[in-house]
Amino acid sequence: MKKFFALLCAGVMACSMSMMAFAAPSQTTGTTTPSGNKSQTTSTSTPTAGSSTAVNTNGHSTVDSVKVWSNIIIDGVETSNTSLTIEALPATSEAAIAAASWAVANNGTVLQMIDVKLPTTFSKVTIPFNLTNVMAGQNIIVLHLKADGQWEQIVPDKVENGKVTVTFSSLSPVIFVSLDKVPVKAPKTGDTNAVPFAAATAVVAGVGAVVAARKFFN
Amino acid sequence: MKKNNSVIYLIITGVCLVIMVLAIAFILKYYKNASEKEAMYESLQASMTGLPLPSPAPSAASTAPPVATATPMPELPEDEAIFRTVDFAALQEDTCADIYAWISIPDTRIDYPVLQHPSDDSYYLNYNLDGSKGYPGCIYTEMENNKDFSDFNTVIYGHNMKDGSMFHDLHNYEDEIFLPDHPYVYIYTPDRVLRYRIFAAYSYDDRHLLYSFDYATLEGRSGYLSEIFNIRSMSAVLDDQVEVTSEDRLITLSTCVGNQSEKRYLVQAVLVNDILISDINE
Repeated sequence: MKKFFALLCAGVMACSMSMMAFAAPSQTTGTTTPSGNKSQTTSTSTPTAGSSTAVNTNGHSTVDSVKVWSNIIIDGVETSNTSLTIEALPATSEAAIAAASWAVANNGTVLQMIDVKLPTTFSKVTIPFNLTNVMAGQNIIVLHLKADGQWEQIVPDKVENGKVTVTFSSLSPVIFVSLDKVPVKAPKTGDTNAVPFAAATAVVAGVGAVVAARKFFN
Repeated sequence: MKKNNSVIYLIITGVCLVIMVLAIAFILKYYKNASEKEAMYESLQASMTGLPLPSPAPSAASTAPPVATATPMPELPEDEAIFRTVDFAALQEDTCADIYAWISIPDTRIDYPVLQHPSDDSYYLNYNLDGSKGYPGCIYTEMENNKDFSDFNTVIYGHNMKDGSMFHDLHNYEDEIFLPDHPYVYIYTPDRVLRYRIFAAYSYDDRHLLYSFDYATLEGRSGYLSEIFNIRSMSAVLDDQVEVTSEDRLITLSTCVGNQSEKRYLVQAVLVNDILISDINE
């Protein structure tokens, strides 16, 4: 009896070693299709600082740093102002949590959370942020936490490949949210049929049946 | 004790036999389905008809906007593949309304209708022409692409079936001697025949080509083409004799690479002939 089970187990192990991995057919091409709203519209609801909702970046991790693509424009004057600082906003901060909560509620994806500071007085500053993975035409909304604790939603001046240009009237925590959900991976077009596994199973079961039958008749 | 053992052996025998029968039934059903799908495609392929070969005439050239013609083109009458026609009205009525084109690569099994679902891009990845779910699915494009192949890059997907069907034969281009003898892809639409020349075949990562590159600007398209021609891979087959510019129209045929789910095998071709069927008929 032990020999029989040992033989059966060895057979299964031998077959499983040569068996390819297989899975269910792809259900989608990565993520869901866009909502269809390509216009730069915004939701009427705004995030509230201090929300207790957990941070959810929908699988997009926040990189440590964001760089400026080129010179910034302060009150209409282009300058390479080096006093501009951009730091990553901790995901556990109240602003980040509130923004992530808003993004989730609006089926959006948080792309980047940063704290931008410019120790200069200005009425308007235009900053071309370098954001990798952003595509031209992508529906991006910038959430900006003003000094009075109120959030404002800013439609970027321009969204290009890897570049989002935004004009602010003040600076503070800034969160980039994508309202598009596009597939990031190509469809899986492999053939994951289970025929090899079924064939191996049939062989092992056949051998098992023969061995067991011989034992029975003996 | 011996009687107990006999019962156990009898039970094991029965269980093993049942498992064996189920496994064999699964295999038979799989091949029966595959055979039915194959027969359906063969029937559709047989329905394609050939136009009479016209005498050489300038009118055979397209009246459509000019496209890249950097590579020497064979005389059209010698290229019989151009003169096949597809009865799209019948296909759409009798088979599937989402059929809008036909793709063919001579000397391969790639000779299939091209579909596009109106609302679900991944539908034809998992569904067949007859509406049944499962392999092999269909050859299809996504809604991001226009159905008239006017986009800079039209990406066409198909399964890499182990039985050699669908886009499996794209992997023939891994052998660099295959490309010189099989340089053309033909796309048939209700009113045009489009002939594309293959300029690149290579393994790539699984990023979604339509959402990962900027095809909206000349700079973006140029950058993408530069990336293709700068691919340095032992397995990449590139024909740099084919001139491809950012104003051309490309197709990308995409399928999987064996069991490497993070890889795609891409065959890319540039439009070299855009022929009105009405011109051929004249």
